[in-house]
Amino acid sequence: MKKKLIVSGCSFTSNHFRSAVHPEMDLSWPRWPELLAKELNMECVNLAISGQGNDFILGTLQDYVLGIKDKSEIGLVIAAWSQCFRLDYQEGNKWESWIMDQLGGFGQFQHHITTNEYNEFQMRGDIEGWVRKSLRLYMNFQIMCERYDIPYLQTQMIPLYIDYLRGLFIVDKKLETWRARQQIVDIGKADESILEAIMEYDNLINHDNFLGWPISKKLGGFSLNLKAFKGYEKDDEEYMKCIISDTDSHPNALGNKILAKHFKEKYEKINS
Amino acid sequence: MKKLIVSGDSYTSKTFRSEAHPEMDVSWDKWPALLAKEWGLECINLARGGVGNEYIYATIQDEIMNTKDKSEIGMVVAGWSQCHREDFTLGFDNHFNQPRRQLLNYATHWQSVRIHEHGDLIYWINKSCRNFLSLQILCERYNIPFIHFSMIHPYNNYVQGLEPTEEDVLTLGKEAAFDMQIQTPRPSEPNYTAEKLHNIVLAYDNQIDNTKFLGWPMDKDIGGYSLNYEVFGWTRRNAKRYYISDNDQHPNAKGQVKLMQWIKEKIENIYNINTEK
Repeated sequence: MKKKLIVSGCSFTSNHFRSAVHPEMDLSWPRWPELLAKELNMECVNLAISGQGNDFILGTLQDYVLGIKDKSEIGLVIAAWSQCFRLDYQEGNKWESWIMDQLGGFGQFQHHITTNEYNEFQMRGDIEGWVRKSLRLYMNFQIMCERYDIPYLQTQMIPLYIDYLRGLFIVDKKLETWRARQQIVDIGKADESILEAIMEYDNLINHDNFLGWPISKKLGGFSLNLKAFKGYEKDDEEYMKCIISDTDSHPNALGNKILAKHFKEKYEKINS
Repeated sequence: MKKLIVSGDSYTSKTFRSEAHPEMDVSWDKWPALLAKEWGLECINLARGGVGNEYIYATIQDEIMNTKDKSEIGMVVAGWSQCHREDFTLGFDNHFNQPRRQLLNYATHWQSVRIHEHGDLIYWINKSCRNFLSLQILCERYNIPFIHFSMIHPYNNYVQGLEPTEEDVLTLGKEAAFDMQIQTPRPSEPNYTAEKLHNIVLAYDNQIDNTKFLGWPMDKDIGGYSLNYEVFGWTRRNAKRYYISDNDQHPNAKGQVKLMQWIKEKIENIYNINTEK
Protein backbone atom coordinates (compact mmCIF):
# COMPACT_ATOMS: atom_id res chain seq x y z
CA MET A 1 0.00 0.00 0.00
CA LYS A 2 1.29 3.44 -0.90
CA LYS A 3 2.03 5.85 1.93
CA LYS A 4 0.04 9.03 2.11
CA LEU A 5 1.23 12.50 1.14
CA ILE A 6 -1.07 14.78 3.15
CA VAL A 7 -1.17 18.44 2.11
CA SER A 8 -3.18 21.48 3.14
CA GLY A 9 -3.09 25.05 1.96
CA CYS A 10 -4.92 27.78 0.06
CA SER A 11 -5.67 28.38 -3.63
CA PHE A 12 -2.00 27.85 -4.58
CA THR A 13 -2.43 24.23 -3.47
CA SER A 14 -6.13 23.48 -3.98
CA ASN A 15 -7.35 20.97 -6.55
CA HIS A 16 -10.48 23.02 -6.95
CA PHE A 17 -8.99 26.42 -7.62
CA ARG A 18 -10.85 28.49 -10.19
CA SER A 19 -9.53 31.80 -11.49
CA ALA A 20 -11.69 34.77 -10.48
CA VAL A 21 -10.10 36.83 -13.22
CA HIS A 22 -10.51 34.19 -15.93
CA PRO A 23 -13.58 32.19 -14.92
CA GLU A 24 -13.75 30.57 -18.35
CA MET A 25 -10.19 29.28 -18.28
CA ASP A 26 -9.50 25.54 -18.23
CA LEU A 27 -7.34 24.97 -15.17
CA SER A 28 -7.36 21.21 -15.21
CA TRP A 29 -3.60 20.83 -15.05
CA PRO A 30 -2.30 18.72 -12.19
CA ARG A 31 -1.46 20.63 -9.04
CA TRP A 32 1.87 20.36 -7.26
CA PRO A 33 0.68 17.94 -4.52
CA GLU A 34 -0.45 15.46 -7.16
CA LEU A 35 2.81 15.84 -9.12
CA LEU A 36 4.86 15.43 -5.97
CA ALA A 37 2.89 12.37 -4.85
CA LYS A 38 3.59 10.78 -8.22
CA GLU A 39 7.31 11.51 -7.93
CA LEU A 40 7.44 10.11 -4.40
CA ASN A 41 5.17 7.17 -5.21
CA MET A 42 2.65 8.21 -2.56
CA GLU A 43 -1.11 8.53 -2.42
CA CYS A 44 -2.10 12.21 -2.58
CA VAL A 45 -4.48 13.59 0.07
CA ASN A 46 -5.04 17.24 -0.80
CA LEU A 47 -7.07 19.07 1.85
CA ALA A 48 -6.46 22.59 0.49
CA ILE A 49 -9.28 24.99 -0.30
CA SER A 50 -9.07 28.40 -1.98
CA GLY A 51 -9.31 31.46 0.22
CA GLN A 52 -8.49 29.68 3.45
CA GLY A 53 -6.21 30.84 6.20
CA ASN A 54 -3.79 29.19 8.55
CA ASP A 55 -6.29 28.02 11.17
CA PHE A 56 -7.93 25.97 8.44
CA ILE A 57 -4.59 24.58 7.31
CA LEU A 58 -3.55 23.38 10.76
CA GLY A 59 -7.09 22.28 11.65
CA THR A 60 -7.46 20.06 8.59
CA LEU A 61 -3.97 18.57 8.94
CA GLN A 62 -4.44 17.87 12.64
CA ASP A 63 -7.84 16.28 12.10
CA TYR A 64 -6.54 14.12 9.27
CA VAL A 65 -3.27 13.04 10.89
CA LEU A 66 -4.85 12.23 14.25
CA GLY A 67 -7.61 10.33 12.46
CA ILE A 68 -5.06 7.87 11.10
CA LYS A 69 -4.47 5.24 13.72
CA ASP A 70 -1.31 3.78 12.24
CA LYS A 71 0.90 6.82 11.67
CA SER A 72 3.36 4.75 9.66
CA GLU A 73 0.84 4.96 6.82
CA ILE A 74 1.85 8.60 6.45
CA GLY A 75 4.78 9.23 4.11
CA LEU A 76 4.91 13.01 4.31
CA VAL A 77 2.78 15.92 5.57
CA ILE A 78 3.09 19.38 4.08
CA ALA A 79 1.62 22.65 5.38
CA ALA A 80 1.64 25.32 2.66
CA TRP A 81 0.78 28.33 4.81
CA SER A 82 -1.40 31.18 3.64
CA GLN A 83 -1.88 34.84 4.64
CA CYS A 84 -2.19 35.46 8.36
CA PHE A 85 -5.09 37.89 8.16
CA ARG A 86 -7.60 35.40 6.80
CA LEU A 87 -10.19 34.20 9.25
CA ASP A 88 -11.44 30.60 9.13
CA TYR A 89 -14.33 29.04 10.95
CA GLN A 90 -16.81 26.23 10.56
CA GLU A 91 -20.57 26.14 10.40
CA GLY A 92 -22.18 22.74 10.64
CA ASN A 93 -18.79 21.05 10.40
CA LYS A 94 -18.06 22.72 7.08
CA TRP A 95 -15.11 25.08 6.80
CA GLU A 96 -15.95 28.61 5.84
CA SER A 97 -13.88 31.69 5.46
CA TRP A 98 -14.49 35.36 5.01
CA ILE A 99 -14.15 34.99 1.31
CA MET A 100 -16.79 32.30 0.99
CA ASP A 101 -19.18 33.38 3.65
CA GLN A 102 -19.44 37.09 3.33
CA LEU A 103 -18.89 38.02 -0.26
CA GLY A 104 -19.05 34.78 -2.12
CA GLY A 105 -16.28 35.65 -4.50
CA PHE A 106 -12.62 34.97 -4.86
CA GLY A 107 -10.19 37.65 -3.90
CA GLN A 108 -12.73 39.82 -2.19
CA PHE A 109 -12.15 38.75 1.38
CA GLN A 110 -9.73 41.60 1.74
CA HIS A 111 -12.62 43.99 1.49
CA HIS A 112 -13.61 43.04 4.99
CA ILE A 113 -10.52 44.09 6.69
CA THR A 114 -9.71 47.29 4.97
CA THR A 115 -12.92 49.24 4.80
CA ASN A 116 -14.90 50.82 7.52
CA GLU A 117 -18.16 49.06 6.95
CA TYR A 118 -17.05 46.28 9.26
CA ASN A 119 -16.02 47.36 12.66
CA GLU A 120 -13.15 46.21 14.84
CA PHE A 121 -15.13 43.44 16.39
CA GLN A 122 -15.81 41.72 13.12
CA MET A 123 -12.16 41.15 12.51
CA ARG A 124 -10.69 41.12 15.92
CA GLY A 125 -7.06 41.73 16.68
CA ASP A 126 -4.37 43.35 14.58
CA ILE A 127 -1.74 42.38 12.05
CA GLU A 128 1.00 41.66 14.57
CA GLY A 129 -1.41 39.54 16.61
CA TRP A 130 -2.32 37.55 13.48
CA VAL A 131 1.33 37.09 12.55
CA ARG A 132 2.06 35.78 16.04
CA LYS A 133 -0.90 33.45 15.80
CA SER A 134 0.45 32.02 12.54
CA LEU A 135 3.91 31.60 14.05
CA ARG A 136 2.29 29.62 16.86
CA LEU A 137 0.50 27.49 14.25
CA TYR A 138 3.85 26.73 12.57
CA MET A 139 5.12 25.49 15.93
CA ASN A 140 1.96 23.55 16.57
CA PHE A 141 2.34 21.73 13.25
CA GLN A 142 6.03 20.99 13.85
CA ILE A 143 5.34 19.67 17.35
CA MET A 144 2.58 17.37 16.12
CA CYS A 145 4.77 15.86 13.40
CA GLU A 146 7.71 15.46 15.76
CA ARG A 147 5.49 13.88 18.40
CA TYR A 148 4.38 11.15 15.99
CA ASP A 149 7.68 10.97 14.15
CA ILE A 150 6.01 11.84 10.86
CA PRO A 151 8.11 13.22 7.98
CA TYR A 152 7.01 16.79 7.34
CA LEU A 153 7.70 19.97 5.46
CA GLN A 154 6.25 23.41 5.84
CA THR A 155 6.53 26.55 3.77
CA GLN A 156 5.03 30.01 3.58
CA MET A 157 3.44 29.53 0.17
CA ILE A 158 2.53 33.21 -0.30
CA PRO A 159 3.73 36.21 1.75
CA LEU A 160 2.34 36.01 5.28
CA TYR A 161 1.51 39.66 5.94
CA ILE A 162 3.19 42.13 3.61
CA ASP A 163 0.22 42.54 1.26
CA TYR A 164 -1.83 43.67 4.22
CA LEU A 165 0.68 46.35 5.16
CA ARG A 166 0.94 47.58 1.61
CA GLY A 167 -2.82 47.81 1.22
CA LEU A 168 -4.81 45.03 -0.32
CA PHE A 169 -6.37 44.85 -3.73
CA ILE A 170 -10.09 44.17 -4.08
CA VAL A 171 -9.31 41.55 -6.69
CA ASP A 172 -6.07 40.62 -8.34
CA LYS A 173 -4.40 43.61 -9.89
CA LYS A 174 -7.42 45.89 -9.78
CA LEU A 175 -6.11 49.36 -9.37
CA GLU A 176 -8.15 50.42 -6.38
CA THR A 177 -6.36 49.80 -3.12
CA TRP A 178 -6.97 50.61 0.45
CA ARG A 179 -4.55 51.59 3.08
CA ALA A 180 -3.77 49.10 5.77
CA ARG A 181 -5.63 49.41 9.02
CA GLN A 182 -5.82 52.86 10.43
CA GLN A 183 -3.76 52.16 13.51
CA ILE A 184 -0.72 51.28 11.47
CA VAL A 185 0.58 54.72 10.82
CA ASP A 186 4.14 53.74 10.15
CA ILE A 187 4.27 50.74 7.83
CA GLY A 188 8.05 50.53 7.95
CA LYS A 189 8.02 50.37 11.71
CA ALA A 190 5.23 47.81 11.69
CA ASP A 191 7.19 45.65 9.26
CA GLU A 192 10.28 45.92 11.42
CA SER A 193 8.34 44.88 14.48
CA ILE A 194 6.83 41.87 12.69
CA LEU A 195 10.24 40.80 11.41
CA GLU A 196 11.50 40.82 14.99
CA ALA A 197 8.50 38.71 16.05
CA ILE A 198 9.36 36.18 13.34
CA MET A 199 12.94 35.99 14.55
CA GLU A 200 11.74 35.13 18.07
CA TYR A 201 10.92 31.73 16.57
CA ASP A 202 14.26 31.33 14.85
CA ASN A 203 15.69 28.95 17.43
CA LEU A 204 12.43 27.01 17.73
CA ILE A 205 11.53 26.33 14.11
CA ASN A 206 13.28 23.37 12.57
CA HIS A 207 14.99 25.11 9.65
CA ASP A 208 15.69 21.85 7.82
CA ASN A 209 11.98 21.17 7.43
CA PHE A 210 10.83 24.71 6.71
CA LEU A 211 11.28 25.63 3.09
CA GLY A 212 12.09 29.34 3.04
CA TRP A 213 12.48 30.02 6.74
CA PRO A 214 12.56 32.77 8.02
CA ILE A 215 9.85 33.54 5.41
CA SER A 216 10.88 37.09 4.56
CA LYS A 217 13.47 38.12 2.00
CA LYS A 218 14.63 40.81 4.42
CA LEU A 219 15.59 38.08 6.88
CA GLY A 220 17.18 35.79 4.30
CA GLY A 221 14.12 33.63 3.79
CA PHE A 222 11.32 33.60 1.26
CA SER A 223 7.72 32.82 0.50
CA LEU A 224 7.74 29.91 -1.89
CA ASN A 225 5.72 31.37 -4.75
CA LEU A 226 8.04 34.33 -5.15
CA LYS A 227 11.24 32.34 -4.73
CA ALA A 228 10.21 29.45 -6.96
CA PHE A 229 8.93 31.69 -9.73
CA LYS A 230 11.75 34.21 -9.35
CA GLY A 231 9.05 36.74 -8.63
CA TYR A 232 10.99 39.14 -6.50
CA GLU A 233 11.63 41.28 -9.54
CA LYS A 234 8.58 42.95 -11.02
CA ASP A 235 7.91 42.09 -14.66
CA ASP A 236 10.42 39.32 -14.43
CA GLU A 237 10.10 37.18 -17.55
CA GLU A 238 10.62 33.94 -15.67
CA TYR A 239 7.92 34.84 -13.16
CA MET A 240 5.39 35.53 -15.91
CA LYS A 241 5.99 32.09 -17.39
CA CYS A 242 4.91 30.44 -14.11
CA ILE A 243 1.69 32.26 -13.38
CA ILE A 244 -1.74 32.19 -15.00
CA SER A 245 -1.63 35.72 -16.38
CA ASP A 246 -0.53 39.21 -15.51
CA THR A 247 -3.84 39.64 -13.69
CA ASP A 248 -3.84 36.30 -11.86
CA SER A 249 -0.66 35.31 -10.07
CA HIS A 250 -1.71 31.74 -9.23
CA PRO A 251 0.57 29.05 -10.62
CA ASN A 252 -0.13 27.69 -14.08
CA ALA A 253 0.86 24.20 -15.23
CA LEU A 254 4.56 25.11 -15.32
CA GLY A 255 4.30 26.89 -11.97
CA ASN A 256 2.84 23.78 -10.35
CA LYS A 257 5.68 21.67 -11.78
CA ILE A 258 8.24 24.08 -10.37
CA LEU A 259 6.58 24.07 -6.94
CA ALA A 260 6.58 20.25 -6.93
CA LYS A 261 10.27 20.29 -7.86
CA HIS A 262 11.13 22.57 -4.92
CA PHE A 263 9.32 20.32 -2.45
CA LYS A 264 10.93 17.21 -3.91
CA GLU A 265 14.41 18.71 -3.61
CA LYS A 266 13.80 19.73 -0.01
CA TYR A 267 12.36 16.32 0.82
CA GLU A 268 15.35 14.56 -0.71
CA LYS A 269 17.74 16.88 1.09
CA ILE A 270 16.32 16.10 4.53
CA ASN A 271 16.23 12.40 3.74
CA SER A 272 19.72 12.13 2.29
CA MET B 1 13.10 24.80 41.57
CA LYS B 2 10.91 23.24 38.86
CA LYS B 3 7.96 25.09 37.38
CA LEU B 4 4.26 24.43 37.73
CA ILE B 5 2.74 26.00 34.59
CA VAL B 6 -0.99 26.63 34.79
CA SER B 7 -3.45 28.43 32.56
CA GLY B 8 -7.19 28.89 32.75
CA ASP B 9 -9.93 31.42 33.32
CA SER B 10 -11.30 33.31 36.32
CA TYR B 11 -11.49 30.14 38.46
CA THR B 12 -7.73 29.91 38.19
CA SER B 13 -6.59 33.50 37.77
CA LYS B 14 -4.49 35.06 40.48
CA THR B 15 -5.78 38.50 39.45
CA PHE B 16 -9.43 37.52 39.78
CA ARG B 17 -11.74 40.32 40.91
CA SER B 18 -15.40 39.76 41.72
CA GLU B 19 -17.65 41.64 39.32
CA ALA B 20 -20.59 41.17 41.66
CA HIS B 21 -18.63 42.47 44.64
CA PRO B 22 -16.01 44.85 43.28
CA GLU B 23 -15.19 46.11 46.74
CA MET B 24 -14.47 42.63 48.13
CA ASP B 25 -10.94 41.64 49.06
CA VAL B 26 -10.43 38.44 47.07
CA SER B 27 -6.68 38.25 47.54
CA TRP B 28 -6.76 34.75 48.99
CA ASP B 29 -4.36 32.26 47.44
CA LYS B 30 -5.67 30.57 44.34
CA TRP B 31 -5.30 26.84 43.76
CA PRO B 32 -2.22 27.02 41.49
CA ALA B 33 -0.23 28.93 44.15
CA LEU B 34 -1.45 26.56 46.86
CA LEU B 35 -0.53 23.54 44.78
CA ALA B 36 2.92 24.90 43.92
CA LYS B 37 3.52 25.50 47.62
CA GLU B 38 2.53 21.93 48.48
CA TRP B 39 4.93 20.53 45.92
CA GLY B 40 7.72 23.06 46.33
CA LEU B 41 7.41 24.28 42.74
CA GLU B 42 7.65 27.73 41.23
CA CYS B 43 4.14 28.77 40.23
CA ILE B 44 3.69 30.20 36.73
CA ASN B 45 0.02 31.10 36.66
CA LEU B 46 -1.00 32.40 33.22
CA ALA B 47 -4.74 32.32 33.84
CA ARG B 48 -6.97 35.34 33.27
CA GLY B 49 -10.64 36.05 33.90
CA GLY B 50 -12.97 35.81 30.90
CA VAL B 51 -10.60 34.02 28.54
CA GLY B 52 -11.36 31.12 26.25
CA ASN B 53 -9.50 28.00 25.26
CA GLU B 54 -7.32 29.48 22.54
CA TYR B 55 -5.79 31.78 25.14
CA ILE B 56 -5.28 28.88 27.53
CA TYR B 57 -3.51 26.72 24.96
CA ALA B 58 -1.48 29.56 23.45
CA THR B 59 -0.15 30.86 26.75
CA ILE B 60 0.94 27.37 27.78
CA GLN B 61 2.58 26.74 24.40
CA ASP B 62 4.45 30.03 24.61
CA GLU B 63 5.61 29.35 28.16
CA ILE B 64 6.78 25.85 27.33
CA MET B 65 8.59 27.01 24.20
CA ASN B 66 10.21 29.82 26.17
CA THR B 67 11.64 27.24 28.56
CA LYS B 68 14.78 26.00 26.85
CA ASP B 69 15.44 23.13 29.22
CA LYS B 70 12.10 21.32 29.35
CA SER B 71 13.24 19.31 32.38
CA GLU B 72 12.76 22.54 34.36
CA ILE B 73 9.00 22.00 33.98
CA GLY B 74 7.56 19.87 36.76
CA MET B 75 3.92 19.89 35.72
CA VAL B 76 1.54 21.59 33.28
CA VAL B 77 -2.14 22.03 34.17
CA ALA B 78 -4.84 23.48 31.91
CA GLY B 79 -8.23 24.37 33.39
CA TRP B 80 -10.28 24.75 30.20
CA SER B 81 -13.04 27.31 29.90
CA GLN B 82 -16.23 27.76 27.87
CA CYS B 83 -15.83 26.96 24.19
CA HIS B 84 -17.86 29.90 22.92
CA ARG B 85 -15.39 32.49 24.18
CA GLU B 86 -13.17 34.11 21.56
CA ASP B 87 -9.61 35.23 22.22
CA PHE B 88 -7.51 37.46 20.03
CA THR B 89 -4.34 39.46 20.34
CA LEU B 90 -3.15 42.95 19.69
CA GLY B 91 0.54 43.49 19.13
CA PHE B 92 0.88 47.11 18.08
CA ASP B 93 0.36 49.96 20.47
CA ASN B 94 1.75 47.79 23.20
CA HIS B 95 5.42 47.82 22.61
CA PHE B 96 6.53 50.18 19.90
CA ASN B 97 8.29 52.32 22.40
CA GLN B 98 9.22 49.61 24.82
CA PRO B 99 12.41 47.57 24.91
CA ARG B 100 12.07 44.20 23.21
CA ARG B 101 12.52 41.08 25.27
CA GLN B 102 13.47 37.93 23.46
CA LEU B 103 10.45 36.01 24.61
CA LEU B 104 7.55 34.74 22.60
CA ASN B 105 4.40 36.70 23.03
CA TYR B 106 6.27 39.21 25.17
CA ALA B 107 4.14 42.12 24.18
CA THR B 108 0.98 40.51 22.99
CA HIS B 109 -2.07 41.98 24.52
CA TRP B 110 -4.81 39.38 24.76
CA GLN B 111 -8.45 40.29 24.65
CA SER B 112 -11.46 38.03 24.97
CA VAL B 113 -15.17 38.22 24.31
CA ARG B 114 -17.93 35.93 25.55
CA ILE B 115 -19.19 34.75 22.17
CA HIS B 116 -17.29 34.07 18.96
CA GLU B 117 -18.25 36.37 16.15
CA HIS B 118 -18.20 33.59 13.56
CA GLY B 119 -19.06 29.94 13.31
CA ASP B 120 -21.46 27.98 15.44
CA LEU B 121 -21.42 25.96 18.63
CA ILE B 122 -20.38 22.80 16.82
CA TYR B 123 -17.31 24.55 15.47
CA TRP B 124 -16.45 26.06 18.83
CA ILE B 125 -16.61 22.65 20.49
CA ASN B 126 -14.43 21.20 17.73
CA LYS B 127 -12.01 24.10 18.05
CA SER B 128 -11.73 23.54 21.79
CA CYS B 129 -11.20 19.81 21.33
CA ARG B 130 -8.39 20.62 18.89
CA ASN B 131 -6.85 22.78 21.63
CA PHE B 132 -7.15 19.90 24.12
CA LEU B 133 -5.38 17.61 21.66
CA SER B 134 -2.71 20.20 20.92
CA LEU B 135 -1.90 20.46 24.61
CA GLN B 136 -1.69 16.69 24.92
CA ILE B 137 0.58 16.44 21.86
CA LEU B 138 2.78 19.30 23.05
CA CYS B 139 3.35 17.75 26.48
CA GLU B 140 3.84 14.26 25.09
CA ARG B 141 6.34 15.63 22.55
CA TYR B 142 8.52 17.06 25.31
CA ASN B 143 7.74 14.38 27.85
CA ILE B 144 6.27 16.90 30.27
CA PRO B 145 3.86 15.69 32.98
CA PHE B 146 0.45 17.26 32.42
CA ILE B 147 -3.16 17.19 33.45
CA HIS B 148 -6.13 19.02 32.03
CA PHE B 149 -9.83 19.32 32.73
CA SER B 150 -12.82 21.42 31.90
CA MET B 151 -13.01 23.77 34.86
CA ILE B 152 -16.53 24.85 33.92
CA HIS B 153 -18.93 23.19 31.48
CA PRO B 154 -17.84 23.89 27.90
CA TYR B 155 -21.24 24.74 26.41
CA ASN B 156 -24.20 24.23 28.78
CA ASN B 157 -24.61 27.90 29.64
CA TYR B 158 -24.62 28.78 25.96
CA VAL B 159 -27.27 26.20 25.12
CA GLN B 160 -29.42 27.16 28.08
CA GLY B 161 -29.10 30.84 27.19
CA LEU B 162 -26.26 32.96 28.45
CA GLU B 163 -27.19 35.22 31.30
CA PRO B 164 -25.74 38.70 31.69
CA THR B 165 -22.46 38.98 33.54
CA GLU B 166 -22.48 39.99 37.19
CA GLU B 167 -20.96 43.29 36.14
CA ASP B 168 -23.80 44.01 33.69
CA VAL B 169 -26.39 43.24 36.35
CA LEU B 170 -24.60 45.50 38.78
CA THR B 171 -24.17 48.42 36.43
CA LEU B 172 -27.37 48.20 34.36
CA GLY B 173 -29.79 46.64 36.77
CA LYS B 174 -31.10 43.12 36.39
CA GLU B 175 -33.93 43.85 33.97
CA ALA B 176 -31.91 46.00 31.59
CA ALA B 177 -29.01 43.58 31.70
CA PHE B 178 -31.25 40.69 30.68
CA ASP B 179 -32.84 42.84 27.96
CA MET B 180 -29.45 43.63 26.49
CA GLN B 181 -28.10 40.10 26.64
CA ILE B 182 -27.47 38.47 23.27
CA GLN B 183 -29.78 35.52 22.77
CA THR B 184 -27.98 32.19 22.72
CA PRO B 185 -28.07 30.00 20.79
CA ARG B 186 -28.42 32.57 18.05
CA PRO B 187 -31.69 32.33 16.12
CA SER B 188 -29.74 31.32 13.00
CA GLU B 189 -28.24 28.29 14.72
CA PRO B 190 -29.78 24.84 14.46
CA ASN B 191 -31.45 23.08 17.32
CA TYR B 192 -28.69 21.53 19.40
CA THR B 193 -29.87 18.31 20.95
CA ALA B 194 -27.82 16.95 23.84
CA GLU B 195 -27.07 13.87 21.75
CA LYS B 196 -25.73 15.94 18.87
CA LEU B 197 -23.38 17.85 21.14
CA HIS B 198 -22.27 14.70 22.94
CA ASN B 199 -21.40 13.17 19.60
CA ILE B 200 -19.17 16.11 18.68
CA VAL B 201 -17.17 15.60 21.87
CA LEU B 202 -17.19 11.81 21.64
CA ALA B 203 -15.66 11.98 18.16
CA TYR B 204 -12.41 12.79 20.01
CA ASP B 205 -12.81 9.95 22.46
CA ASN B 206 -10.18 7.70 20.93
CA GLN B 207 -7.67 10.54 20.57
CA ILE B 208 -7.87 12.16 23.99
CA ASP B 209 -5.82 10.42 26.66
CA ASN B 210 -8.57 10.18 29.27
CA THR B 211 -6.10 9.24 31.99
CA LYS B 212 -4.76 12.80 31.75
CA PHE B 213 -8.04 14.59 31.02
CA LEU B 214 -9.91 14.59 34.31
CA GLY B 215 -13.63 14.35 33.75
CA TRP B 216 -13.47 13.49 30.07
CA PRO B 217 -15.87 13.62 28.17
CA MET B 218 -16.88 16.60 30.30
CA ASP B 219 -20.66 16.09 30.43
CA LYS B 220 -22.35 14.18 33.24
CA ASP B 221 -24.81 12.47 30.88
CA ILE B 222 -22.00 10.68 29.08
CA GLY B 223 -19.92 9.86 32.13
CA GLY B 224 -17.80 12.97 32.45
CA TYR B 225 -17.80 16.14 34.49
CA SER B 226 -16.64 19.71 34.67
CA LEU B 227 -14.47 20.27 37.68
CA ASN B 228 -16.48 22.95 39.47
CA TYR B 229 -19.48 20.63 39.78
CA GLU B 230 -17.48 17.54 40.61
CA VAL B 231 -15.42 19.24 43.31
CA PHE B 232 -18.01 21.52 44.87
CA GLY B 233 -21.02 19.27 44.47
CA TRP B 234 -23.80 19.04 41.94
CA THR B 235 -26.41 20.72 44.13
CA ARG B 236 -26.37 24.38 44.93
CA ARG B 237 -26.91 23.58 48.58
CA ASN B 238 -23.71 21.57 48.78
CA ALA B 239 -21.69 23.90 46.65
CA LYS B 240 -22.76 27.12 48.31
CA ARG B 241 -20.15 27.10 51.05
CA TYR B 242 -17.36 27.13 48.46
CA TYR B 243 -18.79 30.05 46.47
CA ILE B 244 -18.13 33.72 47.04
CA SER B 245 -21.87 34.44 47.27
CA ASP B 246 -25.20 33.70 45.65
CA ASN B 247 -24.38 36.35 43.07
CA ASP B 248 -20.85 35.16 42.41
CA GLN B 249 -20.20 31.47 42.14
CA HIS B 250 -16.44 31.72 41.81
CA PRO B 251 -14.59 29.81 44.51
CA ASN B 252 -13.93 31.59 47.78
CA ALA B 253 -10.83 30.92 49.89
CA LYS B 254 -12.25 27.63 51.11
CA GLY B 255 -13.21 26.70 47.55
CA GLN B 256 -9.68 27.36 46.29
CA VAL B 257 -8.23 25.09 48.97
CA LYS B 258 -10.79 22.42 48.10
CA LEU B 259 -9.91 22.69 44.40
CA MET B 260 -6.21 22.42 45.17
CA GLN B 261 -6.65 19.37 47.39
CA TRP B 262 -8.80 17.61 44.82
CA ILE B 263 -6.45 18.34 41.90
CA LYS B 264 -3.41 17.43 44.00
CA GLU B 265 -4.83 14.08 44.97
CA LYS B 266 -5.74 13.24 41.37
CA ILE B 267 -2.34 14.20 40.00
CA GLU B 268 -0.48 12.34 42.74
CA ASN B 269 -2.47 9.21 41.94
CA ILE B 270 -1.90 9.51 38.21
CA TYR B 271 1.82 10.18 38.48
CA ASN B 272 2.47 8.08 41.59
CA ILE B 273 3.75 11.07 43.49
CA ASN B 274 4.24 10.40 47.17
CA THR B 275 4.25 13.61 49.20
CA GLU B 276 3.58 12.10 52.60
CA LYS B 277 5.80 13.72 55.17
